[in-house]
Amino acid sequence: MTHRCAPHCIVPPGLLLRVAANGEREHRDAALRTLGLDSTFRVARVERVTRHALAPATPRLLSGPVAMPHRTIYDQQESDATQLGWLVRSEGQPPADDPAVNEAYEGFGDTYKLFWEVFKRNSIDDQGMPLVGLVHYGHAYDNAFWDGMSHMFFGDGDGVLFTRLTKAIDVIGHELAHGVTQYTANLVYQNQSGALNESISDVFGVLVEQYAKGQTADQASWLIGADVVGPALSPALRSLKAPGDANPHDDQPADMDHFVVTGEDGGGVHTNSGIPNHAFYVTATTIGGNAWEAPGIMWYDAIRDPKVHPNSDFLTFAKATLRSAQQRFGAQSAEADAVRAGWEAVKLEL
Amino acid sequence: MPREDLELHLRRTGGLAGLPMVASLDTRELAADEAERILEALDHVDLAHVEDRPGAAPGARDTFHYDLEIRRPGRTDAVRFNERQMPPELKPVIRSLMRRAQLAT
Repeated sequence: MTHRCAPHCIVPPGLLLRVAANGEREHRDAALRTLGLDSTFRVARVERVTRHALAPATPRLLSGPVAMPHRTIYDQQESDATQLGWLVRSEGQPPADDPAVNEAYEGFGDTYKLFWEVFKRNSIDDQGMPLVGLVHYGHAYDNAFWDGMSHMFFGDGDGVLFTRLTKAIDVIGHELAHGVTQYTANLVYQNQSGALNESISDVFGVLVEQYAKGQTADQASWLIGADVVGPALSPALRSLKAPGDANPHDDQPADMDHFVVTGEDGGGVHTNSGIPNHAFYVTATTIGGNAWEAPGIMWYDAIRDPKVHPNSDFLTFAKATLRSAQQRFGAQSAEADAVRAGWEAVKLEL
Repeated sequence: MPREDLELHLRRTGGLAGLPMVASLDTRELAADEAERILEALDHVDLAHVEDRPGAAPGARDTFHYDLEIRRPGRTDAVRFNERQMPPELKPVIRSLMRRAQLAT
């Protein structure tokens, strides 16, 4: 059954959060369901309350001893209105008839799983933030985006540039990783910090896919969007292995010698991200094995490194990845050498 | 009074792909009903208040940005806005342009 969520709310979000955090299990679950099902304004307010009022140093488990995602999926029915549409699936409910709904739900689950099981991060904000997906957004909408307020929007594509964007688990991981960056380094979406922001989303996007599929660095495709590009962008949107070669329109540079200076797209945030993307690929394949292990952990450390600030450039971030490698594995470790090799490959001098 | 014909030029950037797309149209070359729809829509847009406000969607990522140029005889207006800030009156105009859009080379 579907229903439209109420535009106004009676129970204050702070109360729901307190119940979710401290109540009996059945009350916690009910509060979490309500938090997940509420309107745009409610979710936005909950996000702010959660972020500011509940900020312990360690993850707070909102649902008992094992953290779990709190997913809600809405059908926008091709409307480009940004208010939540029709609720079609919430946490724990069986699959819907609509594949887009189930793909978003499962992709959210896979993303949550990587961050929780590998990095011990409880959702986007590390506080169990509900994951809210809006599918069938707009008519033939060629995009998926994160709105900065806990919502991820998915278009169905026009069949030329993109097909249904929920099909790509790496794209889902990419968008939710924008949320993780927002709650960690909070990199400004301009110039090098913006390209880092994009790259971090690509890195964790491919890690979500590799972790879900159990692929090692050698087995992975290292492509972004291969499951959703249309004929104009085939075979993929981006490649961490070979930036610039993903499709005929791919203009990503693979090293600092080819850094693109432009006023468009926030100073080329989707272009110059090819450089740190490739550094991660080289680091991961040099180490070998599962990229979500040492390489992923070092990159995750870097976005939480106190020296990485919103305006950080590639070099600041690169140094943070090396610092993580040295602290976790040793200054002369194979991991530290691999990080150096990664940044050297993109001609960034550490 | 008949409306003045005009040329429109659009460049869309950003999005998940980050690949720019471009489109142009001349209302004199459109079917009468589409030209009328565009001209009427533009009559209702206050271009002076269409602006790219970074604070309007501070945490949004991978959204589209539009640069729209409206050329009339003796006058050109140019506006830039994020898709989250698009005035509703402009939507039919952008839809008409995007139906003609191609990846920029």
